[in-house]
Amino acid sequence: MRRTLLSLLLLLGFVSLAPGSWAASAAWRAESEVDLAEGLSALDAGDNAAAVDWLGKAVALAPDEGTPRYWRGLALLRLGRAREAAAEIEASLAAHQPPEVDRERALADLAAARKASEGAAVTVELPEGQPAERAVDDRGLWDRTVGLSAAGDSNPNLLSNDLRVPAPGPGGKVVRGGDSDGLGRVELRLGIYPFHTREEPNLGVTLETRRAFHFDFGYLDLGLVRGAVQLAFGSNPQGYLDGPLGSGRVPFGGSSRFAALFQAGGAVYRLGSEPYFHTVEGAAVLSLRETPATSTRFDLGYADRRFSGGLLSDPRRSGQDLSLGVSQLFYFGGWNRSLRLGARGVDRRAGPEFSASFLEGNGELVWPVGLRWSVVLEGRAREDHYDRRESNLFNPAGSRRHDTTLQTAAAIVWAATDRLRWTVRGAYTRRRSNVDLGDGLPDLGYRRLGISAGLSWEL
Amino acid sequence: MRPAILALLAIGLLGGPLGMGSAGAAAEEIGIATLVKPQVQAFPPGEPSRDLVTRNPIERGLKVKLVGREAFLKIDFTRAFGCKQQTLDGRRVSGVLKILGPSDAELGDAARSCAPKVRFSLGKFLLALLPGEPPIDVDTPETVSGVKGTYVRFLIDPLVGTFVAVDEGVVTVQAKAGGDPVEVEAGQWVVVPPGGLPTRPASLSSLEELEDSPLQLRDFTTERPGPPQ
Repeated sequence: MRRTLLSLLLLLGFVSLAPGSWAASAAWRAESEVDLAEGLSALDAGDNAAAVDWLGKAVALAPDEGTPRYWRGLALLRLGRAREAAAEIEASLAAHQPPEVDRERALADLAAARKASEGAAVTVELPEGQPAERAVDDRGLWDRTVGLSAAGDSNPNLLSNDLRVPAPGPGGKVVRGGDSDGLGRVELRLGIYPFHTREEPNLGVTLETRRAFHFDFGYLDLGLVRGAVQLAFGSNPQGYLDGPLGSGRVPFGGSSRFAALFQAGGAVYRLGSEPYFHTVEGAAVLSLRETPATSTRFDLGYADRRFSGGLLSDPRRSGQDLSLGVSQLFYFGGWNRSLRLGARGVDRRAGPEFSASFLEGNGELVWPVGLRWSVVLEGRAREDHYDRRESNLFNPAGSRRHDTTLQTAAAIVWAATDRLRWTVRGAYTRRRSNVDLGDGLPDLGYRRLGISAGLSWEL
Repeated sequence: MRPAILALLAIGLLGGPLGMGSAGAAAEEIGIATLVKPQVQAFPPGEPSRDLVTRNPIERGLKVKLVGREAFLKIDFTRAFGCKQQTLDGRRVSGVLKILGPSDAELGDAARSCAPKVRFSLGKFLLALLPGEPPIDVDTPETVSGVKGTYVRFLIDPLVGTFVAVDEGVVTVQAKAGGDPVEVEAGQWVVVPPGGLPTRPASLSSLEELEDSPLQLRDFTTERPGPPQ
């Protein structure tokens, strides 16, 4: 895990250099655009010599752009410099950014220039430009986010308050249900979007890693590294779509009726210094906008989970999850004021002790309460129905396990700057279970209160 | 007779600079439409609307409305836009504006001559402005931005708000809701949501990741349960 974190930090450092150099190389755009305009104006007025000069300046500023090269080729052709014209039009077609005219027309002009260079007489009619499709909301090649938080957790072991169990590892320590702990957490997220200049589809590769550090219960330090490939279509007001494998970038926009996100990837989890489990996952998110202010979302997810069988990793939990979710979103005047109400069902295939299905109802309200402040309220109710009698871990003759979990959370978010966000969050969870541990011992239910404060910074 | 001539001259002299905001000044050309893909409707101040076509002049205060995904408008702004007539390296064009797809915009303020200002109400815009030219104020429903010698992209949508991305130079974005202006530099972007401040949308990551206790509840019976001590 340390090696992974180090590699990610190094990658992050390397990536942080990239935008600067990219911006520096782009310090010609406005001038090149104006010189192109001057050249086209001269060409339109029949001043071909002036056009060649202006377009030559544009080419010098933007050698990778095919458009000024193409028009310069036509101006040269009009001046009778056919060989140069053919070379320039040929270069325009080979340029990194193709010329903003119909390609067939450009090829015909190239053929005409070659004929003219052999002595044939040609006439040059100026074609109409054809604007290239470019993503106006292009957000660059990279997304990089760092998160740091500190939290207090009333029950990190997720045990009933009346329960004592031996702590993992040597020493014979006993953990009591309800023993609280403090923890710190670090989170890094990197998204790479190689085709970011295009409207769609939006292909992205995301890599995220998280790690918690407990003061007392080091064996509960959960670490995660997840990688995913994402393909997105359509747009939505937030500019991203949340999926089971994290969020994926989509263009900003409120007019697209459909948006879709397809994800494939995997994750590796560790608890303390031990492997916990790893997954191979796939997911699809479809969003349908019925009105400008409402949309319906469908989530389909699949995860193959493999528990390694270490100290805290029970291989009986290994299996496949298939999930289906539907939610309705309401926007109240903008993406920053929204209400989501949803339901989700999961079919879990695992060992007979842990095969189950669960149904969940959930909701989230995001509401600004000041210029820089907003409140996020979340609620969730979940019913777990286990399939087999073996789920009653301590009494195989007893009834199948059935859990009910209620969770509420509230967060206050302070956007200190456009890139720095502070969050204070409280979450309360209560689980009830019909499975007791027998002999007068408590059941698998628990209560947990977590309070965290942290920041997230977009690099 | 002489006083009458002097009075007429005075009216003429005053009428020049002061009368810019009148209906007569609406015909002040600030640029030319160099590429138009239908449908682009033009609404000149005080005149009936018309369909804009390539090579049409752009008057100060002209409102344009682009209809349909294929609609496109490219405008070359001349130095008349900022009333800076001296040329740099012989250039007559001071900036280029491209408008893509369904959009609404007002090009210049008919009431304020020599104030280079555009209002983007809806749509997608790319603005290139030569360094050294008078800055252009870009007004959107959520922001007022100062664009000076730069290459900048705007997306305006009722649900998104105003998206601003800068490829070159620096753009100062002031949210109408308040707060301090934000300087958006080359390679950066911000979104100003309706009624909000410049930000970047992000999802909230959750704290709770484990569903079930990871502890193996096999050996707990080595000790009887008791109240916490």
